Amino acid sequence: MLRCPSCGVTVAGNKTSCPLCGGPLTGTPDPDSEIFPRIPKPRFTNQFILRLLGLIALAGSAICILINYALDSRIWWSLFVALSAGCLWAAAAIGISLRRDLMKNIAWQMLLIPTLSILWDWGTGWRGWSIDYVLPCVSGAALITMCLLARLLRLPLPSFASRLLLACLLGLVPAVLLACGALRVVVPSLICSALSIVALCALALFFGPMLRAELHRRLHL
Amino acid sequence: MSLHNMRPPKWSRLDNAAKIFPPISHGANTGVFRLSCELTEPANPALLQQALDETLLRYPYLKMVLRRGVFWHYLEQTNLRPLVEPEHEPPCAALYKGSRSLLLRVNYFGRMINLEMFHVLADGSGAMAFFQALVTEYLALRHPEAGEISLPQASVGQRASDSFQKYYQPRSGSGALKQKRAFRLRGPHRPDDTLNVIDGVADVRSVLDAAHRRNVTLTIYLSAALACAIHEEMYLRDRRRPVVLTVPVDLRHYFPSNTARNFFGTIRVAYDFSTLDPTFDAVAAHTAKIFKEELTPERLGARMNQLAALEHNPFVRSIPLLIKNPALRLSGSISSLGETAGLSNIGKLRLPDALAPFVKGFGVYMSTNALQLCTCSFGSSLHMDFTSALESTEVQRRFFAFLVSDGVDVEIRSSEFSQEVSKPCSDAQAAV
Repeated sequence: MLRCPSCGVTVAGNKTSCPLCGGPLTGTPDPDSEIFPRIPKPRFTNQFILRLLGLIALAGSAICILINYALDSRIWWSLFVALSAGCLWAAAAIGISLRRDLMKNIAWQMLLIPTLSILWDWGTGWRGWSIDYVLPCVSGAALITMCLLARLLRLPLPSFASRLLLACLLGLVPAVLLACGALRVVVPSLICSALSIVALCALALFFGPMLRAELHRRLHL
Repeated sequence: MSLHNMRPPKWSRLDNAAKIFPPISHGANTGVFRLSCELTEPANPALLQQALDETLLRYPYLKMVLRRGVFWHYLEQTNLRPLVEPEHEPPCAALYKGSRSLLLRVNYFGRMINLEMFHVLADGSGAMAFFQALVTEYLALRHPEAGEISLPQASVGQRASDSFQKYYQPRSGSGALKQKRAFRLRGPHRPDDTLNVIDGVADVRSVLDAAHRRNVTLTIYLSAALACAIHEEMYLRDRRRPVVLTVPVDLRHYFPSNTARNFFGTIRVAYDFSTLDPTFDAVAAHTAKIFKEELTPERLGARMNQLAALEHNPFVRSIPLLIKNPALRLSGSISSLGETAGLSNIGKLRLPDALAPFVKGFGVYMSTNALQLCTCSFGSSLHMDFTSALESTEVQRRFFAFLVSDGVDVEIRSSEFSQEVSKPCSDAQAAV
């Protein structure tokens, strides 16, 4: 057993100095009486990878702005690069931080990608591609991916019911836009709306009570 | 989607005390606490896993995941099976990482068996009942020669009940709490949000004797010793702020309940050293006075109702979690400005007599963003376990130095190894 002469306590384990005062110890160490393992520091964390990606995005944007300024500052193409780097980083951040929960990941991406697309479309002189193509394609793809993943990973429906419901509801947005006459290209939206309506009906017919229970849990006050 | 696992899962609301933990848990304050058991021989992982599986059958409400609702978090039963692992994370590392993480873990290292639990599931007493059952089960498997062992216990329904709801009485204006800013320990925090653990083990008899020589009870003795140790660390200009110890109180002693979920309240013991005499006896007398005033069913009930009233407020209830979470986190931070350190005594752990010889002692550790002392006893050993988010170990050193000067033999264990890195110099010590 080790002993710290200045604190007057015995010290268990295999320490080189007193845990209380940091002073030298006397006596023989007893490694068997150690009650905590040495924990190696983790080399990479989520935060680290996200920060690294963030740094790459920032550095890339800065370099582009410099080149843009040095060569030709009439057209500010570098701002587009910077904004797209930001958008890519946001999507990657969600992808990495929610990688353990794929359904939640899909749900977030399905909201983020159309939102960013609409902003881009609006910022670059509204041509309507975001609602004509991106919104129906993304929500349709999200719905199909969720069903396939659930089948492949044998996930119980209660674990992702609210996200599936959200995907169905998002898939109805193109139907609303269609009804308002806001779309120029109708085929993707038609397919997506049909998929969502079928999925919603299937959910309601086969899993009605379970969905109600899920909504009750999610919305309890 | 297969049709065989379509049964809606069982779920439960968070109890009143649990509601605060998801928003305030971050950094070193993970909201996780650890109960550990030191055996007399190395732990056997296979038997421990078997014991865990069997014990969890009797505690089904511990197999839960935390999920986000629109207005509140809630607990949902899961089929995930907790696996016994060798200890590979720092003490009280975060457990809640998303809706697929179990809220408890069991690991082992040498002769140690550790149970870590997110405070959302249960409080110290609730976890203690489960841990005692787990250790009993394990030892019964490990030592079948000890004979048939059974632990008395309440029904699953009783244990899973929410006693905050049971004892809630809507009342207005009862015992409002005044909060003053408290002295906060100075010094740099530890890197990587880890905790420094210093565990002092003493013979319970010798500490009791020391306490009785000063005519106080054990809890008051330890609280006063901690307050004095913190006082000695204060700068003169800090003394205008009180030292405030937060002491969790097990409400089961005041309101009959068999729940194994959270059922605790906290009291705050404030020491204003600008007026209070800093000698141990004066501090102990002050502690005894505050304990006597605060530890009454009326005062504790009033506190409990006051906190529960917030949760029952229709306006607060209907705020979406997205907004409620940051607001609760902010209120948690404000509330922690009124606290210097925490002190919790989870009392005496018991095992069936036939199995007690196989266990050397139990320990308890709570995550914190400042300094926390947890104590518990088993047989003749008293564990005083400090967890700290700060680099400095001066308060711990002074606390144990006081015990040693009072004639108590203390054995120190610590989670620290890296002695190559020199400790940062405190400016108080710099002048030679």
